[in-house]
Order: sequence, then structure tokens, then C-alpha cells
Amino acid sequence: MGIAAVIKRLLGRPSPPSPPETQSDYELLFRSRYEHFQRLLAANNAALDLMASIEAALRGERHFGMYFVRSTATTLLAKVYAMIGHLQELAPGRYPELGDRFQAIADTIRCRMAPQVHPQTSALVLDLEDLHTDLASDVGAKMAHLGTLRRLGLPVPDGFAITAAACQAFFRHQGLGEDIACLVQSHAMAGALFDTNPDDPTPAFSILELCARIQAKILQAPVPEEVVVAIQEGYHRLSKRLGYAPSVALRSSAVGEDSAGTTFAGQHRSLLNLRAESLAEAYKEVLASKYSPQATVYRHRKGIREDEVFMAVGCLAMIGAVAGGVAYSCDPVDPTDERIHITAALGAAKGVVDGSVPVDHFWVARGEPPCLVATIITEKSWRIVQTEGEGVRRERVPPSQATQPCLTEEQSVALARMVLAIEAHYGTPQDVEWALSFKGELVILQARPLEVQPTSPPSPAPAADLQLPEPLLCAGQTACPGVGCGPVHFLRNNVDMLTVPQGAILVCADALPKWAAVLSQAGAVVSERGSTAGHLGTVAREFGIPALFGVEKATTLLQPGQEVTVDAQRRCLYPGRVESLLASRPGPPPLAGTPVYATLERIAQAIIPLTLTDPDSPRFRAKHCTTLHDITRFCHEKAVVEMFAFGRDHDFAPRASKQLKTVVPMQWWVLNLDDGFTHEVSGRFVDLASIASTPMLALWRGIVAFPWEGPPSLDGRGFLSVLFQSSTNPNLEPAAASQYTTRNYFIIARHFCSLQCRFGYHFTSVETMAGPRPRENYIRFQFKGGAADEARRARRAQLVGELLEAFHFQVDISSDNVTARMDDCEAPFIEKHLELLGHLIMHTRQLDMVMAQDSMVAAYRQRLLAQMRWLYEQALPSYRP
Amino acid sequence: MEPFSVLLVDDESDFLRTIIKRLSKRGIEAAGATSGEEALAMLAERPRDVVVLDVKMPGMDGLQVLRRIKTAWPDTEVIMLTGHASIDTAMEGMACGAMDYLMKPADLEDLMYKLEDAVRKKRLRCSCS
Repeated sequence: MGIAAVIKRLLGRPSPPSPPETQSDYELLFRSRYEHFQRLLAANNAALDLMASIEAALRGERHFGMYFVRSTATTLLAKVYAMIGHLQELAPGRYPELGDRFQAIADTIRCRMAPQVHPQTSALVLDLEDLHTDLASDVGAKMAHLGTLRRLGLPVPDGFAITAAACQAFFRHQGLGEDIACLVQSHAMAGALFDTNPDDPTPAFSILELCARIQAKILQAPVPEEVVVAIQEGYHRLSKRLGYAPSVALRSSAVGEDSAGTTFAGQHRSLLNLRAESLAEAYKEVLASKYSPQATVYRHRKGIREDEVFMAVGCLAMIGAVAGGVAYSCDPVDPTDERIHITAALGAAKGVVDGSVPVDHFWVARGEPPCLVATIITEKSWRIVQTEGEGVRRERVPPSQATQPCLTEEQSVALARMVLAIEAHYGTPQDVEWALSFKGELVILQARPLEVQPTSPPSPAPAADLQLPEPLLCAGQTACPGVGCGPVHFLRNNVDMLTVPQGAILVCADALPKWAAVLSQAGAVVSERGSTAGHLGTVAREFGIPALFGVEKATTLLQPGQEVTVDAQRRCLYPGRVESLLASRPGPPPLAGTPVYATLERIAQAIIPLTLTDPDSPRFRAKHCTTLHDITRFCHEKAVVEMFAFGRDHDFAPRASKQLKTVVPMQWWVLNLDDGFTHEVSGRFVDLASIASTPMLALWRGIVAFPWEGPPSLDGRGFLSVLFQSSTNPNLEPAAASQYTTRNYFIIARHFCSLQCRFGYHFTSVETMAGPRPRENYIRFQFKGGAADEARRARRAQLVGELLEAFHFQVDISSDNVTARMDDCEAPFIEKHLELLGHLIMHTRQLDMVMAQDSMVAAYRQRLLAQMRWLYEQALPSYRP
Repeated sequence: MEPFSVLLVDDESDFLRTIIKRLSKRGIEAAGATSGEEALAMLAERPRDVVVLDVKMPGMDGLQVLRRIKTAWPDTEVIMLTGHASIDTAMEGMACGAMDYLMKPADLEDLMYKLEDAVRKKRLRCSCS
């Protein structure tokens, strides 16, 4: 059923039972209306809270993912829908446009929440020779770049791309994608999992568990027949071009991967040395790696939408490699170092990016010709080699070869030339993966932009003015600069990933890409092996997690649980917490500008802005509601009106509003919704002794706590300002004003009170619940308007806001409008603050007129503050602001 | 508040077990069903005050179950509690008479309040008619 049908049903509800005849029928009808009113208010508060959490998220106060965006929007729409339903019960058929407006807004939100990235071509497979940069949204940047490099004449392995469209076909097949989305959304820990405040511990366990379940689902699902056929045909064409049936590598090339700032380095799988018959199964494995824990955490951290990532896959002829590795066209942590930095391992390049084998380093200076200027040759005891059948394995290197450099001088210069050519083509620093074949030919496996740290690192020597303790050790390579402090936690296996304490210093032997899954909760990461060029280093830089790699014996010199401070920049570890180093640590990268953030921003435009502000304005109509906020405001206002109208229209004495008998020289009217009176009150008046509503009584205590000194004496300009406003603002006609001045309305129940006051030219409202459920208790206060000019009104709003902030309220001020709120506390605490509000309402009347002089403002502030303090300490001295 | 009975319907049996245990500790008579069919059978045996219903379940889905419940036991209040963040489903659930549409993970305290409100609403309506 579409939303349109739903709305019809909402508005086509049967009207309430025919008018009751007896008093007890009236009583029941009234109670039922009260129930709707109450639930409308509850839905209103829930809706406003959800809107506040959206605003907080947009201000950057929390990290969030699509889980937050979707569930907040869905819940919010359900609440607003409920409000419309309740108003419909209170006033059947009176606001038919409300449903239309709601439908239009809901449609807008749904459209704006939909993914913005879609595959462009419907081809399932594209050969490498047809690839170029414009196809990045179909084959991923990795494969698109490879196509470009081929066109540049660089040596690249031949192959083909399995496109985003194929990935989409796979996930659409048999509803797999929807099943997965549901698994993510309904995971019991999803909220905590994906939307934690970065300061909260991340429950790593459930992330791993959830990812395992999703991956299992993918591996069990069949690859659609048309995709299988397309892959087979692609392989067949490749064999024909090569003249033999090659073993191949399947490399993830996710759409959105490898662009600057989001490298997805090592987040997804690549499978090496595969036979043709295993391609379909292996393809699923690569697709499943979209949900590896590290990829899932990575997307969340970088604000990337799950449904905008399509896993394109490259299928490339295997290069039997004698050596391989990574080449950076400059130093990623020190941009002033423009030498080409080659990291090389024996065997496959995988050893370097995995950080799992020892490596050589070569530095080649730019120039014509480029010149090898520095090397570090290590003992390379391990390498990664292809196995006879399928796949790769790690094996020991014969001692005679272990100390030989991976590359000759000639080869390193030749490689540097290729890297420079790629950099020249793209115009940005490059991160290039390469291999040296058994025939001695250099091959480029992939190229992507290199993330370069924007600031140059300080000198490695500690600044003299830092009081530093004796370091535990000084060694290694800076993979990401920065300082971190926390308890040492060893990463040896997957179980260790489950128990990472928040802010831990991760210590591992190998800088494995999978550790990235727990990186965002770490204070720093230290590894014995691995290099800046590895995937873990890349992700550490993107997350801004200090990383120090190549620290020999780190796992033997450090003890689990021991608190240490890591200065990755200066390459030293210190015992305990070194505050002088920690002072300058930057926070996590903001979400603003990411696709997830943009989605929330888009839908917020249909939710947050309030355009219906003045109930007296002719624009305050259902048909003018343009946001969900407008609808909530409209429903709330009209519900209050309907509740008052009922007693009046039905001339039903016990439920009509009554005037409060009081000495306070104003008219106060009271509408009892349910149990707000101590007993049934007949007649037109009610006295205070008959009021049972605890929040109303609290407000009243504040209202009468101090006698009002009358309107403040006007300075000359203030009086003129009032006269001027009166003559220009039609709402301030004397006749209208006198009507407003006289009436103030309480709507009450035992634990509920809503007060609407119009004193002269300004409007105040308080709505509060102070019952036995602390989580549902709240105060909403609004203060607006005034007769003086805007500047004075704004100054008064400022004063009121400051006073409330001094007493625990959350305050929001915009021009002359103050809103203040308080949530989730015990009833006595709420009542105490209602006393303060009662006092404030009485004693800030017409203050705007004296708001011209700073000295007077200060005097009033002082007096009000003193009175509020006194009031505050009367009954509950323990709650001191 | 007088005692009342709740039936929770969710195909995640771990989730069911936990939440039933916690509700029982708070003195609420709570039972669980892992499918829509089972839930309808249990209601036919003995109606409950409130049903807490998941949306996505194998077999009969939550909205179908909701419609059946609202036809056969119109006085039973239904609260949707789900991980399914779909605007259409939420709207349809509300239109079919669900009292609220809550997203997992729900806070137990909030769920308790919702249950109490549902019972109050149900009893009020029964005394009206």
C-alpha cells in the first residue's frame, strides 16, 4: 500500500460516536479525548527530540551512519503520522489538507534518502582495452586507472572488469540485498554498533559477528546465471588475446574506492592465482569482502553509504613475480621529501601491502636521469609465492637470496620513471603497486592517488621545552604522525580484536590490513614489521590514528596493560601518560561533506525548518505546512485549541474551563483534563485548594513567590518604542491587547500542566510533565515577542536565556525567541525548575522596555538571579546550579 | 498498574529470550512466538492485552499478522518493534492500527512505558464501548 492510500485511510476514519447524552457518557468521551491529547503531546515531544538529535548530528556533535539517518527518519514520520491521527480524533475532518501535506513531505524525504550513485552501464563485463577514467562509476577507480595506464603505454596485466551492474544484479538476485540491509538494521546492537559516540567503547564483538553473518549469506547465495556467463565469456576472450589459458587474480575495484581521501586501502579482498573454474565462487568471496569488519568500520568512519558502494571486480592475468611492492611518488608524511620511495619484497607485492614480510627500501631522486640515492636492504627471510594449484602461500627464502636487493639500480630507476610518468599524467602524488616478473619485466598492477599529510612533521628531536621522561624505546618508521596514550593491547589473533579497550595502544607483530577494523578505537598502533606503504598505514593516516611501524621487539619489550605514550612523529615510546605531548592531539575527522552527512542534510531540509510560527497569522493553516516541524507545531497548537473548545462547545460544566480564584490581578483559566482537581468542581470558579496538579502548583508557587513591582519605569526611548510598535503592528491594537492581557490558560492533569500566557504584547508557554516516569518527564518553555523594538526584545531574550542556562536548562535563542528545555529527570527536580519559570514569567513582563541601558540590564539580571537562587534553595538545597 | 499480558513476536529467538526474561523480572506476563503463524495460534488459544510485533519474518510478515490481529482481536493493541527502517512499512503499520512503530534496539524502559500506555488505551476504549 502506498502512502497515498495510507493517508486516505487516516483521513477516512469513522467519526467518533454520536454526541453522548448523559453526563457519564460525556465524561468518557472527554477522557478518551484527553487520552488522544496526551498521546499527541507525547508524540510531539518524541518528534521534537528526534529533530534535536538530527540537528546535533548535523552540528557534528556525534558520529553517525545510515542506520541513524534511516531509523530517525522512519521513527519521526511514524510520530508525526500519529499526531495527525490524534488531532483527527479531536477534530474529525477539520484539517483535511494536513494529510496531503504530510504525504508530500514524506515523499520528499523518501526520495532524498535514496542512494545517489547508480551504475551507468548495463554491461556486466568490460575488457581492459575498453576501460578509461570515465568508466570509474562502473568498474571502480582501480580498473579505470589500469585502463588509462594501458593507454599510456605502461606495462599492465591484461584482463577485464566485472562491473557494478553485475554486483547490483548479484545483490538484487533473490532479494539478497534487502536481506542484508535488514540484518544490519535489525542487529540487536546496530544502534550502539554504528552510531556510537567516538568516545564510547565500540562493541567490537558484535561488529565481527554481524559481518560474519552477512558474509556467510553472500557466500551461500548463487551468482545469477547471466553474470556467470558474462565472466566465462570475458575469460575466454582474455585467453584468446594471450594465446593461453592464464591463471588470474581477482581484485576488488569498488566504485568510490581509491579516490583521494577514501582509498579503501586493503578493505576488500583480492584473490591471487585462480583457475577459470573457480571464478564464480571466488567472485562471491570478493563481493563478500564488502562486509569485512574493516571495510564496514571504514565506511562508517568515512561517512560512506553502504548502498552507494558497488563492488566492481578486476580479473587480471597473473604475473609470476620474483619481487613486488609499492612505490610512492613522494613521502606521504613529509611532502617536502619528493624522492620516489620504493618498498619491495621478494615474491608477490601482496607481502608489502599486507605488511607480512620483510622489505627493502629504495629512494630515487627526481631528475633526468632519476638517481638512486639511498637504500635499506634487509634480510628477507619470507616471501609470498604462487602455489602449484591455486592461491598463494608464504615460504622461507633460501639464505643465499635473502640478503640480495629485490631490485637492481637499473630496475629501481626504470620503476621510478614509470611512477613519474603516472604522476605527471594525473597531476597528483601516486601510490603504485608493481611487480617484477620472472622474465625481469616491470609491471604496474595498480595506481591510485597518494594521501599526503597536509602539515610537515616537526623535527624528529623532542622540543627542548617538553619535559619528557626517559623513552622506553626509540625506533621504527612513522606511518601516521601524532601522539597517543593508553594501555598496551596485543593483537595476535581475531580473539584479541574482540577485547580492545577504548584508546588502547595496539601492538602487533605484523601490520595486517584486518587490524583496521579496530583501528578507530585505538589511541595508536605500533607494529614490529610492516611499512608506511602497507594498507594499515594508509588507513591509519586516513583515520588520523598515530602509527609507528617497524619497531623491532615491540611485542617483547612492552607488557599488555602497561600505559604508554606513543609519539609516532618523533618515533619514541614513553612510559605512562606524557601530558606535554598529548596536548596537541587533533580530533577525529569530521563527517561534514561525506555522502552520509549529505543525505541527512538533504532530508533535514524537509524536517527541521519551522515556517509556521505565529498562530495568529493568517498563514497558520494546514495547507501551509512545509516541513514535519510545521506539522507538529500545527497539530500541537490546534490540539490545545480543540481541548478548550470541547468544554465550551458542549456546555458541559464539569469539563468547561474555570476561572481561578486568586488575588493575583490577572485572569487565570484552568481546564482540567483528567485528574487535575482534587474533586469534581462545579460552577465557573475553582480555588487553589482544589488543584491537584503538582506541576501547576509548582508554577504557581513561583508566580506568587515575590510580589510584582509593577511595570518597570520606562526610560523615554522605551516608551516611544512601545508607541511606535503599537502604531505599526496591527496585533498590538489596544482592543486586541486588552483581550490578550486578561487571559492566561492552564491545561492540567495530575502530573501534566500546560500554561499559555499573554502578558501585554508577549507570549509565554510552558508545557511540562512531572510524573513517576523520569524518562518521560520534561519541561518545554517558550518566550517570545514584546512591545519594544527588536533590539530590546532580543536583549531581553538574551537575559532570559542566560538566567535559564544558569539553572540547568538547555537554551536556544534566536532573535527575540527563547526556547528552553529539560528532560529525563525526577519529578521534584522538574517542580523546582517550574517554580523558577513561574517567577521568571511574572517578573520579566515588559522588561524589554527597559532594556536599552546595559547598566539597567545588569541590575535586573542581578535582582532576578538573586531571587531565583533564593527560590531554588528553599526546598531543595542539594540542587545548586 | 494492574497486571497485563504481552506476546512478543520475532524470529530472532535470542532477542525474544532476553526480552521476555527482562519483562518477566518486572512482573509482566510475557510470552514469545518466533513466527506470525505461531503468534496467531497462541492468540487464538488466549488473547493478550498487547502484542509486540517484528516486521520482517520468514513466512507471514509482520504487516499481515497485524491485519489478522486487528480483524480477529480488535481490542488487542499492537506495537511494531523492528529493525526494518522503511518509511512505507512504518506508515502502513500505523494505518493498519499499530499503536507505534519503534526501531530496534529499543530501550527497555521506553518499551515498558509503551506497553503500559497500550494497556491503558485498550482498557479505556473497552470502558467506552
